Amino acid sequence: MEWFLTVGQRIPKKDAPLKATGNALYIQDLRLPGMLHGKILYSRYPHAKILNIDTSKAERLPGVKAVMTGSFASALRIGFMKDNPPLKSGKVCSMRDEVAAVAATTPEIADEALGLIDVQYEELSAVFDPIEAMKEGAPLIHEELGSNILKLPWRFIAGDVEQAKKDAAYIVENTYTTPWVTHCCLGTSGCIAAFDINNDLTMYSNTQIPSLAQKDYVDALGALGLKNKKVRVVQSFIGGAFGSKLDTYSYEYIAMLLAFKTRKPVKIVFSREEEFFATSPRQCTITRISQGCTREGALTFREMEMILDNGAYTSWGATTPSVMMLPISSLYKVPSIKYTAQCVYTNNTYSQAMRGYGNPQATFAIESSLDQLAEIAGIDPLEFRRKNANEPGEITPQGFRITTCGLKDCMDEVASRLDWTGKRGRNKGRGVGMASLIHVGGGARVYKSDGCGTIIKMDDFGKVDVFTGATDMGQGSETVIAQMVAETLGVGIEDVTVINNDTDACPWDVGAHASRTTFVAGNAALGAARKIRDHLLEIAAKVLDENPENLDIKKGAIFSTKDKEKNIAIGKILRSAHYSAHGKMMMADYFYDPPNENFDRDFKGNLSVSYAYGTHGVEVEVDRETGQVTVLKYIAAHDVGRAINPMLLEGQIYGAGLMGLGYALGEKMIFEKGKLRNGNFLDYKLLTAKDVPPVEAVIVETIDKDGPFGAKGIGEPGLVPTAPAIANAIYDAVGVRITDLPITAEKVLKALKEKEKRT
Amino acid sequence: MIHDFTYFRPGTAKEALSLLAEHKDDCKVICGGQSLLIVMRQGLVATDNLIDIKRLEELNYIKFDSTEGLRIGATTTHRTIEKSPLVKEKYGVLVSMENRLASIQVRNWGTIGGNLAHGDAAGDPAPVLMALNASVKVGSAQKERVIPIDDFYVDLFETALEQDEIVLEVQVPVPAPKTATCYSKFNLLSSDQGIISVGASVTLDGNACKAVRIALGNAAATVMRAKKAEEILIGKTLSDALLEEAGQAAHDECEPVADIHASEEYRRHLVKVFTKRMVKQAWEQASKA
Repeated sequence: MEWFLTVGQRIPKKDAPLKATGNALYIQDLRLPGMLHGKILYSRYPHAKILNIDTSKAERLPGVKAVMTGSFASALRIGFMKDNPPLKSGKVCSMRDEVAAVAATTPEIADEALGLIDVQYEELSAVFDPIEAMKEGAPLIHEELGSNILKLPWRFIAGDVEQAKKDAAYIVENTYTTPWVTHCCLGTSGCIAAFDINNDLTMYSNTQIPSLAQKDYVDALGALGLKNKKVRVVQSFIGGAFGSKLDTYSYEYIAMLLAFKTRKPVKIVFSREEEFFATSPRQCTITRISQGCTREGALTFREMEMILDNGAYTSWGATTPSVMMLPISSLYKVPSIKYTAQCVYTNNTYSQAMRGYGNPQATFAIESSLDQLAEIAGIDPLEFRRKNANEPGEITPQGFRITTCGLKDCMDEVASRLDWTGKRGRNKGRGVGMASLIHVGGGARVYKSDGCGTIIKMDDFGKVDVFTGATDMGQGSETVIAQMVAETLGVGIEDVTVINNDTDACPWDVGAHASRTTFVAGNAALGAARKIRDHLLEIAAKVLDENPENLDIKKGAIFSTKDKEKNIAIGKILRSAHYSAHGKMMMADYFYDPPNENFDRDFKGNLSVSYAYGTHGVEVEVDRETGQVTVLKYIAAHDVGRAINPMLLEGQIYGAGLMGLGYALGEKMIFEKGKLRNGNFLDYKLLTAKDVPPVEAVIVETIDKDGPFGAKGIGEPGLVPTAPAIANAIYDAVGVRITDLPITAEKVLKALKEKEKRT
Repeated sequence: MIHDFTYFRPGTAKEALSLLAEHKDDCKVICGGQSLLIVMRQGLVATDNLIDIKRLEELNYIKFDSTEGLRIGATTTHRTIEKSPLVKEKYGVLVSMENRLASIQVRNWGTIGGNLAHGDAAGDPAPVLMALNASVKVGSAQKERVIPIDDFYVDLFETALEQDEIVLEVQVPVPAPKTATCYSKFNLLSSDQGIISVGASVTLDGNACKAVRIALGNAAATVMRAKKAEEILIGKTLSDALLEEAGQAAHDECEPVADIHASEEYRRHLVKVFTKRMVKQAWEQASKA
C-alpha cells in the first residue's frame, strides 16, 4: 500500500485566502494607465439589413475617443466556421449581433455614446425554430451558404440497427428536448487589449484557453495587416468559466480594434445583462431516441437523431455532437448504434461549450429511455443497468479502450445509500431514480494535440516554482498540481508556487476543457517534477555516498531508505548545485501529450486514455396538487481513479450536481423571437444556497494506470446524469414521464392531469 | 446604468417630510432599496432626487399593547421583525412570512415600510397584513392619516400614498379570540417572491366560521381580498366540500396575469390549492386556540 503526505489530503485551495479576503484581482479590478472603456451596441432586430449607421453625434460627445462600425476591419471573421465578423456590416442575424462600438474615458460616457448612434435597419423575415429553418424557402441566415443546415457530417454507425430492430424483444421510442441554459459565471467576461509601440499586443483576459486564444489573436492581427506580431495573454483571476471562455468572442476583437485605433489600452467588461444575452449558452436539442433489448434485457441497439439549434454563428457548440457520441456509443454495452445530428442556423443566439459539452443532453435521452425500456421488459432499472454495465477491458463500438471502470460500484453505492429496493416502485408521491454516465477522464484528443507543458525550477531554499500552461478557472488545478509536485519533490504544499496565467512565462497548453487538467497537466507536472527529483537524488547520492535508488525525499530532506544516518536537507543540495564549479540549475521541463487518438472519418478512435464513470441517484417527493418536485436525497457516486484532493473533488461534485439540478428542474433561457426574456438573476432561475438539497458525494477509487497518481478527470461528469435521474424518480413517484427540460411544476401538474384523464 | 441623482439623508422624519414636500415632483424615497435599486439599475425608474429614510431611528421600533395591538415603525428591517420575540409570541405568522422573504441579506437591509410602499403585488408582507386586518399610518409635512391596508393598494405598483407622503408605521390590531392566521406562497426558488401567495385568517365561534379574511398575493394587479371565497365560509363548519367551494371561488375571482414563469391557468389553480390549504390550516389552528 502506497502512502502519501500531500496527495489524497483534504487541502483547501491555495488561492482561497486571496479570494476570501478580496485580494484576488479579477478582470473587473485591473486598470492600466491611460486605459479607455469600450462598450458595444447590439442589434435591435433578430434579422435585418443595416441601411445606415450615423455615428457623428456619438463622436462629438466629449470623452469619446473612437466610434467603430463593421466597416473597420470588415474582412475579419472569427469562430469555428469563420462565419462571424466581430462587428457586423450589411446585415444582422441575431439580437446579440454587434453593430457598433465606442471607446471613451469612462464607462458612463461610452454608454451614453451608444445611445447617440443612429442605426437604420430594414427588418428581414427571421426564423427561430431549427425545424422551420431546415425547410425549403426558410429565410437564410447566411445566404452565401445556400442552406441553414451546417455542413458538418455528424454520423456514427456500428453494427446493424435495422436487423437489431427486427430481432429486439422490446423497443421504446421517444422524443426528448432540452433548453438553452447559460453558465452564470459570477465573474463576467472581459478583457483589456493593449498595444505597445511595436504593435505587439498584450491581452489581459479571463479566457480558459490562453494558448489557443493567443493563436486566434495572432491570426486576427495578421488579418489587420500586422504580420509577425507577438501576442502575450495574461489571465486575471477567473470567476468561473464552465466552457463559456473556451473560445474567443467578438468583444475581445472589438477591444483589440479599439485599442489599435486609439493607441490606448481598451477594456471591455460585460455587465450582467450582457453576460446573459451576449455569451453563448449550452445548445438546445431535439432528440429522437429508440432503444431495444432482448427478452432477458441485454441491450441490442440504440438509434438517435438529433437536431441542434446552432444560432446565427458557429462556435465550438457545433462540435458537441462529437462528445454526445461518447454516451451514445459507449454508455452500457450496446452492439448496434446509429446516430446522426444536424446543426441548424437560426436567428437565435449561438451556442458554445458548457460543462458536459453535449453529454447532458444525450444522457438525458438515453437514461430516460433506458428506464422506459426496463419497464416494458419487466426488469428493475438497477438490475437492467447492472446487466448492461461497462466493464474494464472492454472495447466499445466507437473504439474506446476501457481501462478502469467503476460503474457497477457506483450503481451499488447509490442503490444501497438510497435504499433502492425498499423505496422503489411504491408510486405514492415519493420515488427514487438513477442514471449513469461515461465521460472522458484521460484527456480528449479534440485538437491535433492534447498536450500540456510544464517547467519547474527550485530556488536555493527548497521553494518550487511550477510554470504550467493549465488554467485555473476556479476548479482548483493550482492546488492539485501543487500537491502532486510537492509529493514528488518531498516538500510541503506551501513550498510550491504555481504560475499559470502568462503566456510569456508559461508553456503551451491546449486549454481547460474536457475535464483534462488534473490528468494532462498533472502528468506534465509530474514528468517535470520527476526529472528534478532525479537531479536532486543524483547529487545527493554523491554527497551521501549512497546508491540513488536507495534514496527518497520527504518533508524537505533526502534520506537513505537503508541507512537512517544518511540524510541531508534539500536546501543544502540545491545550494551545492548552484554554488559548485560546473554548477547546475535546478530546472526541468516536460511536455505531456497523452497517447489518445483523434477520431477517424467514421468517428472511431480511442479519444481518451481513460474514461470516467458515475451514477447519480435521487429520492424525490412530488406534490400532486401543484406538481412541485422536491429532491429529498441526492447521491452522486463517481469513479475518479484517485482523489488527489477529496475536498476539492467533492466541491466539483457538489457544484456540478447543483448545476445539474438547475438544468433538471428550473433553468431555461427564455427567448421570444430571438430576444432573451429572462436575462437577469430574478427571472433566470439559478438555484441558490437555499435551494440545495443534501448532496452526498461518494468517491469510488479505481487507481487508473495512466492517471497521475491514478487520477481521472472529474470537472464535467457531476452534472451529466442529474436530469434523467430526477425524471426517472418522478416517474417512480407519480407515474408521469417528463421528456422536456426543465421539469417545472406546471409541466408535472399538466402531465398528472392528462394521466388522470386517461385512467 | 443608474441615472445620476442627488442623494439626501435626512436626520429626522420632519426633515425627510419637508425635503419630500420640496422635491415631490421629481423624487423617490428609498428605505432599504432592495426593490427600488433593481428597477433603478434596470433604468425603469430614473429620478433626480433620492431621499434615504432608512436611518430614521425614530421610525425603527416594534411595540405591542393589548388594546392597540402591534405597531411596527417603517424603518424596521425584515430581519428585526423575524427575530423579534414579541412578534413571534403575538403574531407568529409574521415571523414565518419573514422567514421565507427573499434571503437573509435582503432581510437584513430591507424594511417593512419600504416593502409596503413599493406596492408590488407579489410582496410577501402585504397579504399577511391584509389577512391580519392591518392599517398603514402615513404622513406628510402637513398631516398624518391611517389607511386600512385593504385601501392602500390602488393599482400595479401604485399605492394610496400622495406624492408628499411616506409610510410611518404598520398597525396590526389584536386578533379576536379563537383566531389564527396562516400564510404560504408557491415559488420557483426559495428566495423568490410567490408565483402566487395566500394569507388567511379564520375566527371561529364554536365549530363555525365567524369571520374570515383571505388575501391573495400576485394574483391580480394589487394584493386583493378573496371576498367571494370569504362569503362562502362564513357561518359554515369545516369540510372538504366547503374548502373546495371556497378555493374555486378564489380561483374564479382572482385576476392573475400570465408571464414567462407561469400561465394564467396555472396561477388560478395555485390560488385554489393554496386558499384551501391556508384556510384549512388557519381553521385547525383556530379551533385549538
